Amino acid sequence: MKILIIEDDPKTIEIVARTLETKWSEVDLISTFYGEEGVKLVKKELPDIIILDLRLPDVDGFEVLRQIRSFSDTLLVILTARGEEDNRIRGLQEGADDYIVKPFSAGELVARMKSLIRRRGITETTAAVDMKPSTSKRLSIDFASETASVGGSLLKMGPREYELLYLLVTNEGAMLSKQVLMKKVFPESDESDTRFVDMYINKLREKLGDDPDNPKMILNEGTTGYKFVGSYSIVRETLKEIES
Amino acid sequence: MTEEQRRILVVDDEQTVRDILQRTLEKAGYDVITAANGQEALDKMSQFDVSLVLLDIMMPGLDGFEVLERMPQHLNIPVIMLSGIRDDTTRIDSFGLGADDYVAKPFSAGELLARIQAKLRRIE
Repeated sequence: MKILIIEDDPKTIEIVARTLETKWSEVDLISTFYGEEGVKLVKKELPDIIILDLRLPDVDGFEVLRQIRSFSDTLLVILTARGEEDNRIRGLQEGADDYIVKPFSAGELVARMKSLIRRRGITETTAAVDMKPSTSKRLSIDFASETASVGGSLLKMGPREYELLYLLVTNEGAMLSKQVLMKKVFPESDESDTRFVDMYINKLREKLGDDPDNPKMILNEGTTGYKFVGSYSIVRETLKEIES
Repeated sequence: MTEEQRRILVVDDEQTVRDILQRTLEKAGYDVITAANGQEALDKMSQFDVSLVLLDIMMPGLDGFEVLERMPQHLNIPVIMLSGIRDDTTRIDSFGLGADDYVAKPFSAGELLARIQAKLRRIE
């Protein structure tokens, strides 16, 4: 996942970079203070998503937006201190996918960007399905947008359900103990109390269509853990590092 | 309903909010249907061709989060949450459950329309 931030405030860039490090692994963040260079970077680097400030030292942000939209349909979020209603409406009408006013919640910025990526993925998947109908119920995982689908239908999962699925799939065939899953997915809870893991495994199985009485994808390893043995495909391979 | 006339489902338990939204959206050229609770919303999503949903969170019976979780997945309808709850956790949870946008009440009609346009632009 490549993100371009066109922003002249180093502090904002640092906050975004730090948040992405913890909440969205394997992101390649490119930044520039200048609008003109930003437009060039969109052409050269082909980012997946652009974060654009409106107050730039060389060119007005709306002009940068206009130039980018003249050749690119890349997802774009305006992140600015210019919070007036007229500007918010103008930004969205002139092609921004979202408009966030500073001061902002970095967690919400990332959640909004992931939502845009997910919607783009759905639209692309729908278009592909329209062209070539498929009856496959295979699990597909998009590591970039942190989403999964079965038979082309997006699974609605909360962040913890995705994290659990991610851990199981990326350790395919290996038993993961309930304590390890607790530690990684529910770090704020007591890892010896593994009921959360069982509850979330049940929710995952339900969403995957995996019969809990006779599971074919997520198997119980006695009472101590789980392992993933199902088949799946990777839509976009942006793997994040698994801690040992 | 023509291709240009998109249908929006407004889900809110307050009649006044539904009425205001219906008038605003119809004036902007949208076809509008409404639901007063979560179950009615799910029923209407199955019965009608809906382009986008405006969804309140705090409702009696099924709340907005439950509606998000139970929405038929194959429909892939964009959802804009429209809620009086302003905290970051609720916003982030909404996106995690599949919402496409989150607008806090009280809202600007002009901005809401611009956000709707931005979402519909991506599914055209």
